[in-house]
Amino acid sequence: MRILNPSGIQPEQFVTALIDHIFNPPIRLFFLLVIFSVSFLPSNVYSSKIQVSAVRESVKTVQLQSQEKKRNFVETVELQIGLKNYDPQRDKRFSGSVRLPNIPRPKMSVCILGDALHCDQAKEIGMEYQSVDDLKKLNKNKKQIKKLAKKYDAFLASEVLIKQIPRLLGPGLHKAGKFPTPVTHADNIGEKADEIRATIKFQLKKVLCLGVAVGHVDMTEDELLANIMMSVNFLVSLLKKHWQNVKTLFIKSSMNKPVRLY
Amino acid sequence: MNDGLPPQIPITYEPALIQPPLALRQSSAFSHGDIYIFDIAANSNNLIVSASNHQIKLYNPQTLAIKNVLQFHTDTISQIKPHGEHLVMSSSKDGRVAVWDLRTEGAPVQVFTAPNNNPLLSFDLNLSESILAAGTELVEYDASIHFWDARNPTKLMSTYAESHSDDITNVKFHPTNASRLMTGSVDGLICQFDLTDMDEDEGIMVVSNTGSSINKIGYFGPQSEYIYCLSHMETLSLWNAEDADAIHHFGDIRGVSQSALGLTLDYGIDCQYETESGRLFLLSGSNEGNINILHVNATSLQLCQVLSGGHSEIVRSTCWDSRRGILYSGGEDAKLGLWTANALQETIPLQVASASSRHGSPLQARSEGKSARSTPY
Repeated sequence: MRILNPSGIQPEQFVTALIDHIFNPPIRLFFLLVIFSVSFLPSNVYSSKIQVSAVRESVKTVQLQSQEKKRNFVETVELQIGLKNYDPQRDKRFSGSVRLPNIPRPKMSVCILGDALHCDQAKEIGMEYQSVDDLKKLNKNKKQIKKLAKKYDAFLASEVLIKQIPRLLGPGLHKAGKFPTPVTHADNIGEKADEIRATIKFQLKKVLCLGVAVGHVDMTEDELLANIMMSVNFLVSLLKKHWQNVKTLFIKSSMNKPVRLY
Repeated sequence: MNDGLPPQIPITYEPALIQPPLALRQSSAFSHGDIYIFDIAANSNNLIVSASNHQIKLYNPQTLAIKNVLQFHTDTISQIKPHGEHLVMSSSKDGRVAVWDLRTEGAPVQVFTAPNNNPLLSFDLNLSESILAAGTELVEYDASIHFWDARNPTKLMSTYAESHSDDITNVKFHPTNASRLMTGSVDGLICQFDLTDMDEDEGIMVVSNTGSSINKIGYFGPQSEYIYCLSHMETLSLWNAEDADAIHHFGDIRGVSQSALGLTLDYGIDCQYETESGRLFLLSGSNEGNINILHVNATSLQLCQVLSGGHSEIVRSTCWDSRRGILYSGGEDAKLGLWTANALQETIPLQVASASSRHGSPLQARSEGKSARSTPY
């Protein structure tokens, strides 16, 4: 956080006091967590080059843009990062996933490949499920497995069942990038599904820019803000020269012009 | 996955695990100009080094004097590996795996070419030296594992294209089972195959979903029954090779950085298993060029030593013979470092000063070296 501190009190106290004035409780908690994590690392490296207040204004602009002309679908909000001083040919690979505080893709369909207990739990909460017998019925038929992979955006699987998946389905779910995430009986399957919905992937390929869907226009300003700050801080932390590798930052809804953050 | 919370990896300082400690003995530049060293490997008589200018160079392992340049690849060299005392193998994004015989000058003695010259990111030769496997980048819809008859480069035995949905970054044969292969990918999956029938659908045995883009994987343990996994998000996890179960997710290893230990950890380089002691070590580094050696316990880490003063940029590769007390390092500053357990005292400040004159503080590097050496058992 790059904030002027004329009073000379401890920077963390100062920031906390400042945040007390600016944010409502859930967001405050989030920023405390961010500060907490940041305080473990050299502060000059991790200090944010974008001010929360400025990002908040950009979020408002994006939301206004989409309200001015309502579309008949919920527009996605994308974070676009342009890099500099980075050579994809030789610098360390920049790819991975990050779990955001608020779900950017609530409509993502998640199906559980469950044992008896998980299938019962899925029934209770109205979640899609497939039992071992359902999978056996596919008879390793490639077309059928492909159809199953297409039907859902992601899969969970009970720990005992996930081990049988190579034998039951072969690599059928792999190519679609939909091999299940394991769940145990101690996990809440609804929460696990939401974790998947909240996790975004990012990957830099041959060009020096990448976009990640961090939310949608029906989210509140605070929710979008929290997702954007989290994504930006995490992505920048993975870059060798941190903010010196960032050329531009934009946020943009599906049908509107990008708004510059940095 | 990252929850925004700093991971709580328990860490202690255990210098006794590397005694005597390592100190910089020799340093050498790969070349002048803006070049990164990518990878280092060694056999008894050669230090083999690949760099971003698509060259492989051979050095004298004692003096770091250059012996030879192997020039063949026309794109990024993705992996190098010695095979016995005379052969070196290299894969490249030019779509080729080259086999070099160090006794003969000039061109590689064998070249395996991927269909359409699809970029190769990793390769391995099985125990019985009958199969060469190599993994490609994602090209259109396919990330493929190609299998060749190792004795006949023109004979592509099989191609598996269903098991991964993104770049295949790791291809590793089991150390004791010639028909067992594992692959790791940016899609987060570790797939283990039984190659007996060369059938992708039937041969896929165990799949672990690590949930993060895979940087390095490797077998470890007395029977090679475990797998370590380092991700591109700098997370470390340990897996059971037999049943795909996670043994432990350490989370983001950068979280162990602490000034009290003099430890800055910005990235993992690779892990290394020591057969004699049964210990797994994590080699990691800082963006300023320090190398950190940590011992990996079941659920905690132990810092053994920080090697500073050898590099001023990211360290990309290390090659460590812990039994003989020798470690080689190479980084994005184009420098090669030779670290030994019994370095002559008077050579250390000289080397440290020359290495850090461009960047960083020699005083700090020297005092750190001293304090590590003076630490009582």
